[in-house]
Amino acid sequence: MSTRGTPFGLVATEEAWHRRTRAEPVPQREYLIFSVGGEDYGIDILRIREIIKVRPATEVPRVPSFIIGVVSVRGIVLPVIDLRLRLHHEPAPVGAAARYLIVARDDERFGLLVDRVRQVVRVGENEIEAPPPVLAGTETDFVAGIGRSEQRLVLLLDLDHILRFEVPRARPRSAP
Amino acid sequence: MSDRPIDRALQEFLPEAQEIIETFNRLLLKLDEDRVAGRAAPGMINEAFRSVHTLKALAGSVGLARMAHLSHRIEDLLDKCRLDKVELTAEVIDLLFEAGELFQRIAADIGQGASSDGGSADASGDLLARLEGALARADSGHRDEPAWGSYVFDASLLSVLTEYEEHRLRENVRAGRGLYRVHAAFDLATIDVGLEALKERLKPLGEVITYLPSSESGDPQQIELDLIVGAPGPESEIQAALAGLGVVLRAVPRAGRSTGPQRAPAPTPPRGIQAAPERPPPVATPATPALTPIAVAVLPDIEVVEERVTSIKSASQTVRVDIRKLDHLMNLVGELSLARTGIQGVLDELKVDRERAGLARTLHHEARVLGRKLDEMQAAIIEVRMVPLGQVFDKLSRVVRKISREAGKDIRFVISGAETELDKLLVEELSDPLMHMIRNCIDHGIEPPEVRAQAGKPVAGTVAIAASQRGNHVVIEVEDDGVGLDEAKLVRSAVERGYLDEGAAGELSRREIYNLIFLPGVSTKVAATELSGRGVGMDVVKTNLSRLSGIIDVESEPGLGTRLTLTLPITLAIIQALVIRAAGRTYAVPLNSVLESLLIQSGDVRTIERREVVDLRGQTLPIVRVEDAFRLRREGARPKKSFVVVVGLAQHRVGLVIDELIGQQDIVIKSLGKSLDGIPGIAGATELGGQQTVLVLDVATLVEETLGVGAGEAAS
Repeated sequence: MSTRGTPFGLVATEEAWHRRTRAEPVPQREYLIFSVGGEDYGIDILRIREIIKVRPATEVPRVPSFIIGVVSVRGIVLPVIDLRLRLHHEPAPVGAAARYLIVARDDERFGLLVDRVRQVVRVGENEIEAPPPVLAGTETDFVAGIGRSEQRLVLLLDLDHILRFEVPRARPRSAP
Repeated sequence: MSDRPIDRALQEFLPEAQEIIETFNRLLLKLDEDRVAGRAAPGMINEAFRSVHTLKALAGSVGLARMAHLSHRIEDLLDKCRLDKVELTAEVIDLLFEAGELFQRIAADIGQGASSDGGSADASGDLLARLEGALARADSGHRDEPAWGSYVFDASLLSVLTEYEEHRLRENVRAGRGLYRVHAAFDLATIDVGLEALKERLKPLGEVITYLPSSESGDPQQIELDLIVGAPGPESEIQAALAGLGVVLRAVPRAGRSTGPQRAPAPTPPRGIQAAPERPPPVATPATPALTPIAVAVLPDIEVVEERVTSIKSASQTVRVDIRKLDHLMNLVGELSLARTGIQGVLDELKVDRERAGLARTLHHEARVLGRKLDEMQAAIIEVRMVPLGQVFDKLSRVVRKISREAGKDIRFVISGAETELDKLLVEELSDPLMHMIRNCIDHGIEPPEVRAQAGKPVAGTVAIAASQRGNHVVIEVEDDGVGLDEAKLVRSAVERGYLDEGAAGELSRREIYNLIFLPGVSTKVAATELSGRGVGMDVVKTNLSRLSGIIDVESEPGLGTRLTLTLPITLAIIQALVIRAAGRTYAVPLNSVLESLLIQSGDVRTIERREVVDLRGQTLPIVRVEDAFRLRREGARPKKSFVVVVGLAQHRVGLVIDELIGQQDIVIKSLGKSLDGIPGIAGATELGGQQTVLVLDVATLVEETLGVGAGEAAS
């Protein structure tokens, strides 16, 4: 009997598994909760490849200001996005608790600078609400839904939207 | 997805199929040339036949039914051609070319992820219909005279000849050539090589009609073969050519000349299944029955035969490798080099420690060996990536043939420097831009035949492509002897598009005017009156080339022709770079574009027409400050002394103003990822060791930005 590799990762015994599946038939997702600019956000944990300490990024010219630059992680050069700026919070110095979340889109990697990583929570799909039309701040576009976890509200981010941005191109990718 | 067995099979099928299709197409080109020259070699048709035969089997094995069927019918057509039942006319060649292109399209579709050849259903259906027509028209008359004329063969030999071999035998006899039997013994392990060598030796003398295992074999470690050769020359000549090979040459006896019954060795059936008789053994006996040798069909000893075919080793010594694997290797070497830099750091610390001087010396020696081997390894990997440009040029010849037929123009396509080598990746990326350039030459450069005749030019236009290596660059020139660029039309077109105003247009130099063709939408065509939309704009060609760190130049003489010159680095995989600092940041500049560097004082900079320039040995050199180009914020004041790194591509020169030169280093350029790829001025990033990631400057775009593309600057 293996204790690892179950869909929920942390289920220790077969018995617990049955108890759990009986008690909670609602599909669950795990979210990594982190704070940026005083707010808590969540990203589907399956999209997160690793969490690393902040290291100096190499500035890249001619890109939107929320791109801090590029860093090399295990030989792969990837862009780092400052989530504070991306989510329209005030800029602030990088604190000791700050981390880069390395996330994936297809086979491309990105780093997201966050102020602090909090915890992993499980949210049932029935507990996720659509974002209200008027949300404090101007980050509405990037919020896919609002989840409730242990009486707390968590803004679940639309990662693909966050990773979608334009930079000037000198070279079209292919001939028409 | 890609783990589905069918997809995997398709992926494995692809490179092999592409290779065969390329061979097939190359043979067609040669065949067409020979046909026009009136000397189509039957061997060539046979080779084309064999390649399409292999393709058929291959396509069938991965379930590409249309491709298999099409190759089957092409095989039939070629079969009839090699048997002279169908004449190899221009129309037939066209059909074959079309098939070659269709094969290529199907292969390309599969390369893009299609899992079947259904996408080309219409095209292949259409082509098949025309193929059937050509096959139906085939001469059904079959020549019934015996193939062997008055030569005396035993019936068992004749019974194993394929229809094609029999046909070749007949043709050789008809041409009055002498027939010979060459008996040769080969070592089991090396038969592939040995047989090829023998065939090569015989090729200039005549034609190897067939080869059959001989029954005279004694040594089980050897395979003995009888080759039937048709040759026009005297026996002594062949004897001389085969001297030293340890083979036995015998003339095949002729009826009426023979001195008695022959004990012709009865051959065992040929090894290849393909050579199984396609018709029942001819019972017809040669013209003079009295001298017919007794057909003694000695049944081969089965066990012996099995032993003989145990060597299925292929003669090919090559391995096909996905280029990404080479990229990976290159990355690894790059990282090893970083590790070596680390060792060097430790070494430097050790050197200071007097007590460990001995250890430091040893380590120093080992580190040097390691460094040397790493350099060798790097060079070896780069070499593996290199392929001759001839691969693209072959494809281009086909394009030329097709376009010139469409355009109704007679084109002489001249190729030189096909052996020039370039990174495989670059070669692949080059094919489309080159094709567009050549299409433009033919469509717009070369005049219609009647116009050429009037101008006193040869009716056939010439399009020439020449490649040569110059240092770390390869230069490719595409030239035509057509009408040349029309300056007035170019300027008018650029004005209409709003790139220029009339006033600025008057001040342009000739070069600047020619450079207008690289602007989107600018063309020498007069809109609406001429056929448009066929050629791809030169702007696309240019941007695609700049993606490869290449630069393009145009020269033209009215009435005499146009020349486009491409300058490309040999490889993009690993490069030498100059590490520099500017405004507190570190960058790498590819060394292959650095000409020299100089120290300047702030007073050396002058301003001409709002552009900063310095004097370089009497020449005016436009300069660009990296911090300005990238709008970098500088902490503190500019230093009084700066360095100017003179960069150039082709004949363009620009000075990059920087603060400090750090040194030279081999670097592996890495992409910034899809999202940041292609930012003007940035070619990628690289690691310098100590976790330091720096950007690599893209000199080509910086030079262009600084100089402006002629009109872009004039319009502003």
